[in-house]
Amino acid sequence: MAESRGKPTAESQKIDSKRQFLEGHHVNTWIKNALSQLVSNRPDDPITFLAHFFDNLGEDNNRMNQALEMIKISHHSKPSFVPNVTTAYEILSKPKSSKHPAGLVGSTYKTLLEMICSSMAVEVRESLFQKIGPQDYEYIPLDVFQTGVIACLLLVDFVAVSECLYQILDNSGENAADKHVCEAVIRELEEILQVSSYLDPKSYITVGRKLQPDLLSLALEDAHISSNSSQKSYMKCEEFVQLTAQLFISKMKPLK
Amino acid sequence: MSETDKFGLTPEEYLAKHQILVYLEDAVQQLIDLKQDYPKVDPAQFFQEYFHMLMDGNHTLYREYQFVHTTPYNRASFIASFWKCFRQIGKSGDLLNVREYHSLLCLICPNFPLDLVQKTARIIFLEDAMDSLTSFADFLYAFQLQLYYEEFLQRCSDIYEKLITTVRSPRGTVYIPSASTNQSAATNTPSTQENSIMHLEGVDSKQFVDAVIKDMQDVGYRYPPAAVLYEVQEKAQRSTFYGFVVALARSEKLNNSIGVLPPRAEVYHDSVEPVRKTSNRSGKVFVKNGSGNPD
Repeated sequence: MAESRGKPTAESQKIDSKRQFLEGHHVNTWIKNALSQLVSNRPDDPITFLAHFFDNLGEDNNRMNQALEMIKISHHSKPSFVPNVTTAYEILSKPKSSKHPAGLVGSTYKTLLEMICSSMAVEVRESLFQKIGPQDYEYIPLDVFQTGVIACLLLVDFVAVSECLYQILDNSGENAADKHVCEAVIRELEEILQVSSYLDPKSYITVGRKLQPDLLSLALEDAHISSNSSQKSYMKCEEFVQLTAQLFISKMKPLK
Repeated sequence: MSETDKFGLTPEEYLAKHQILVYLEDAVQQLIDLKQDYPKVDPAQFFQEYFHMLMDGNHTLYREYQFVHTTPYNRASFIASFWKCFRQIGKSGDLLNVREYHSLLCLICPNFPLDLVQKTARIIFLEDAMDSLTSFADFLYAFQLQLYYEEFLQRCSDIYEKLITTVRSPRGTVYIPSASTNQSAATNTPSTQENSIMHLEGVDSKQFVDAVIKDMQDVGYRYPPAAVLYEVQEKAQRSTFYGFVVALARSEKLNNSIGVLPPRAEVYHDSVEPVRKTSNRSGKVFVKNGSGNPD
């Protein structure tokens, strides 16, 4: 391309300075990492993948992504999940340089949790953080880190399940399910969540009984009839998910 | 593409398939060039911007023709940029000639070759017509075909020439597309057909398309989906080369498979944004014989 060619010595000097410039800015490492990630992941759309990869450049973000990758390697129900989270914790708590102290600060931890929950609505995320609420300056011990990460991942799964539930309720397929029916479902959910408790195994049986098809359908039918009599109103998927997520969060114990 | 397919490729094949090295090399080169003008450039930011432009398909704007030409994705992006930049011209209904279209192209690609615009004009007028006027839409779709499938058209032209000469001189070699896949072509020997074909224009369209499809399997370059070719072929019993190309340029299916321009009817609508499909960014589309499905 547009390169002015000088004498051999001048040229080699120029090449050297270019190489220095590239190495000095870690361009080599970026490209090496980008290629190895591409090859190990083989995304269908590598250009988008690369765009995201370079978005996350920079020292801090890099560690964050490494940690996130670690956490995402295996599902949180798998046995290998716990060691992965520990590795992620170690990656994040490595000192940035000799001047910085080792350890994971609240603000970094929060950014990581935000990245895990990035698919969720802002309101949901905020109320979640109110519960687990790390302070920006405090140091996060490993067990808190693990619990926080698992809570976020569970909530992500929960939101996905709620979305599926909404798809079933929404028979029009136009993001407009019957409000009364949705409310009935949420009420049922709320009731069983109040009953169940991990300390009392019997409560699960009670919950199972409450979720019997006939009882559930009775509740839904009631809601359907009342919605037919009164004015039709609709609930959007986002709203539904937000309400169910609030149920989940209210069930969580605050971490303080 | 299934998981097994993806990992069936070697790393080199995967990278080559998506032409990743082209973009990484280009990014580094651009960075170095930029650094000469702006010594304080931030490489991280530069890479972010570069790949975002690449993702949005705006990366070919104001770049040299060599770069536009390198990958199918670049060509498709360039076609989309051309449409986005100049659709107002088409909307006002102005008719332009070859030189004027060339000037427009030079505005977004400084060294765009006139030659390619002339070839495009040949698809529209079937002759070298420097002064004939044509509408933006006609030009755009012919241009898309010419730029995106340049090598393919060249190949088709060669095959067509071969077929024509075979028909005209019975003693010459017979181009039999594929004995196993195509019975009709095999029976199409000069001894039985030459007299009837001699005074007809063009070649038997089925024979031609079969020869083209056979050829693309052998060479493995980027070709339009076989279904499109068969569709074009079914419309006419016999076809000349340019008849074939014109039909391709008008094919909505072909336009869909490239996936950057809207259907012809919507080309002047302001609200229509370029379609961005991920599937067609993979460089090659191999076509299985007769199945009509890109693999």
